[in-house]
Amino acid sequence: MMKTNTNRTLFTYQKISTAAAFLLLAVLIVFPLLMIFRTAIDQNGVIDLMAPLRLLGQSDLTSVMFSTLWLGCCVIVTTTVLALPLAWMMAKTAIGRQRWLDVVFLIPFMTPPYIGSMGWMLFMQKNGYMEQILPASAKITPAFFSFGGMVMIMSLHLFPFLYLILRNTLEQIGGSTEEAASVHGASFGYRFRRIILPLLLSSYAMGALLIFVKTIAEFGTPATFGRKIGFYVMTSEIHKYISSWPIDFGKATSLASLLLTACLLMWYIQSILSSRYSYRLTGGKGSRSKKYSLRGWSGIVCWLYISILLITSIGIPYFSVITASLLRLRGTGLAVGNFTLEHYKDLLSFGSESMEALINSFTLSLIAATIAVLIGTFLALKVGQGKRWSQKGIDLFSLMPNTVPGIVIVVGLILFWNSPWMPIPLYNSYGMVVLTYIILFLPYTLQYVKANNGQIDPILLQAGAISGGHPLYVFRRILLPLLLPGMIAGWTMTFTIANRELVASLLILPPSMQTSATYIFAQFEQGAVSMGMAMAVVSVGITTILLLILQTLPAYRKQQVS
Amino acid sequence: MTALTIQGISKSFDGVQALQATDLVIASGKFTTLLGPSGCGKTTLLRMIAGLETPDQGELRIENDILYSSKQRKNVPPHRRGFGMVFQEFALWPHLTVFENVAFSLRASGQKKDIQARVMTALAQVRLQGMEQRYPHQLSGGQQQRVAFARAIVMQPRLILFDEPLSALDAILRDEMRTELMNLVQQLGVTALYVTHDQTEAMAMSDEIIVMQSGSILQRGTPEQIYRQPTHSFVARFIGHSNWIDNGHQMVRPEHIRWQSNHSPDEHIHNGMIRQVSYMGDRYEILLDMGEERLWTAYQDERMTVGEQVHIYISAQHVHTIDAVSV
Repeated sequence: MMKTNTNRTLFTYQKISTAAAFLLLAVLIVFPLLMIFRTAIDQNGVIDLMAPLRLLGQSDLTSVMFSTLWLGCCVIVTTTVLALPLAWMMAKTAIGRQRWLDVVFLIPFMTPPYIGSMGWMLFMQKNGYMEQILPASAKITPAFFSFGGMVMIMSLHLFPFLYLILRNTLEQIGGSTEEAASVHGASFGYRFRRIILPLLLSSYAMGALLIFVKTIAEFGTPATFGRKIGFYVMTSEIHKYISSWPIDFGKATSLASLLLTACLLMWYIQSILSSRYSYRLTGGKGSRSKKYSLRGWSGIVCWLYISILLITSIGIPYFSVITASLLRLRGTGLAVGNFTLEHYKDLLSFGSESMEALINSFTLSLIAATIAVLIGTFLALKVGQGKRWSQKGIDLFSLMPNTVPGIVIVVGLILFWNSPWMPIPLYNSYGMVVLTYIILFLPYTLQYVKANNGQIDPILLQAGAISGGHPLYVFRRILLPLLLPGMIAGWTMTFTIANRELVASLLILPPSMQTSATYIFAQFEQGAVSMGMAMAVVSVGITTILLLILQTLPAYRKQQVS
Repeated sequence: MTALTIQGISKSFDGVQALQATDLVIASGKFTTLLGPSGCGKTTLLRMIAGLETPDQGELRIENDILYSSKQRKNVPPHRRGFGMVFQEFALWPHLTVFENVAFSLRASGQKKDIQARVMTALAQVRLQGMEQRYPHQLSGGQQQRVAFARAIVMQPRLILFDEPLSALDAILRDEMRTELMNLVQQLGVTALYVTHDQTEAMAMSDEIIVMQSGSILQRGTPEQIYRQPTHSFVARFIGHSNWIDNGHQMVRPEHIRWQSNHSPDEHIHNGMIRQVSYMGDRYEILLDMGEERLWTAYQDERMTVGEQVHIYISAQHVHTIDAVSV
């Protein structure tokens, strides 16, 4: 009878779709990453497990490795110095009521690091804006172009990440736990030592690890600022070995294997830390945080700190980028009458190289975001509650592009799709770029839809079945509309990030094709700073507005899914 | 007339037996309640009837249609069973209006005709006229409950399943909705299967109560039978106050404890000490220490003094003897 078949069909669908998910992830992510290891140990056809270690033992690679790790450590220290006071102020003082600051402090994190670095370079360079505004500063500006300057630029980009983690924890600790401690007779010092510190430490450790991973995976700043000061890290070296002569896949894959292993290791430590040392703190509506009122000096100091942070993390880079895009003649500098919108007119004129790059970026991101949302939603639904091993596996592999540095994924994809036995001629085509973007940004949709799906009570779907809805009908009328906010968030995020993507665009784009990111990069390199920066303003401007719109979405979501 | 026949249905989750092999016949057109503490298997049974869980074995029939049969390897999916169900958390779809929530089952089964009229009738039955364009989050708890009910009745199902539908409401609203729900079920004349852990609800609403514990049925009967003649000490303890004369065998209900003798020859007399006096508004509830670790409850019209030694009297006809004993 037909009636009995539905359950069996559902069961078969479950099996087939799980197999499909694993196959998809294997081809898209796992095989390309394995290709990196495979290539690293392949010495002209002979498998030599020690080959990567021997290569890495060479003096130049060892020093690159250590400078990368050192950079990671220094950035952890500086982001902590920047983020901890801010987190305390926002969680514990009246300043925390200024919720707009939260959105504003996301801007540095949303700004592509290569653009931020370019802004700083324009500001601090010889005859840069700093010297034009304050000629006496010429004595100290050269000092900026150093390891310290690089740490500062990267920290100013990454600190919002740590800040959000610390603030959330502080806010949760702040409420009843601290009150309970004080009622039971603990002084401030004792409270801080016995309650706040232990509870804060676990989230700090996780945040710091993630900062470390993000730093060693970062490509934009090393490719711009790092190159200028001659400071080389693993990502920039990988880029060098696969893009400029003499091409050396052995060294590139050895470095990539190491970076991959390091990031997976960090991620593993992080997941152990979070499962073992994180406490479920009562949060949300119930927890009232004790707010210190700020009067007199303490208020001034706090606001001063926030102002300096805003100026250095947003003000200076954006000022430089926007100014550079508006200057008629670079030599004349900041002077009345030297401002023009000419560059924007050139940039946005139809048929120009720049307009083509901009349109390329938009269409590539549009296609990639749309496909990524479809695949990501499918995978997120397969992950479900993440209880069975198959669900955990899908989750783990889908999130890989977030765990592993972008450049490592890109190297893997090149090796995989460009290998002699690959029957699908995707390499060096438009489709390859789309595929790379999809893979790189798959985790966004996955995370958003997964979170969204977790909020949907399964009872809503059961009610649909009881009411006579066929599984497909329930999917279309109930599940899909309820997942829509998560899908929109995933789409917007993918579209935005893909629009600014630099590393994949540099390495994967077919010859003679440009995106806005490669255009900015090339113009900056070739000294056509104004055009490059005008492009940066247009591309970052449009996508930032999109992201800010996205910030208002969670409210919409909360109201919809009770 | 039988509506639903349950034969040898059992279910275990991860090796834990949630429901022992159970036989049950639910009468058509009646209000039947599955009553028991949490974990007694009542919800599992209801969800298996709905088709949301698959039994391990047994057979489920409605009238002459087989819904599930382990022998015939047959399992009708929930969307083909044609039941209505009211969930504990209402389970209204937040992205659909009240109208669309109620219309869902009509649209899902392709009954495009008269959707407007049928939905409006259902909404009128639950007194929600004029609310059809609102979204669930714009409604109060009681109104959401009514939408859930309208959704369950719009298809005029042969059986409506209730999964603790009142437990998400506050006390005052719960009493109100209880009366309303009873009226509606009576008016519609549908078969209702109601799951609750609340004995007051069960007693007030049901034609028949089925008391369950640890995955099996202890007793079934009218509310009066369940209260007056519990066949199981658990049933006696779970429903109402039970005063045990000897542990687990003989008990008396508090309303049958008298403070004065009626001088009949078969009267039982007991001595006790007043432990606690609680004023309930319409009466005082007196907690009595009867010795041998027995605590009894009795009712009184006036306040009594804690610590006072009293005599109490029980007529022999009110002493109920139970055969089955359990802890």
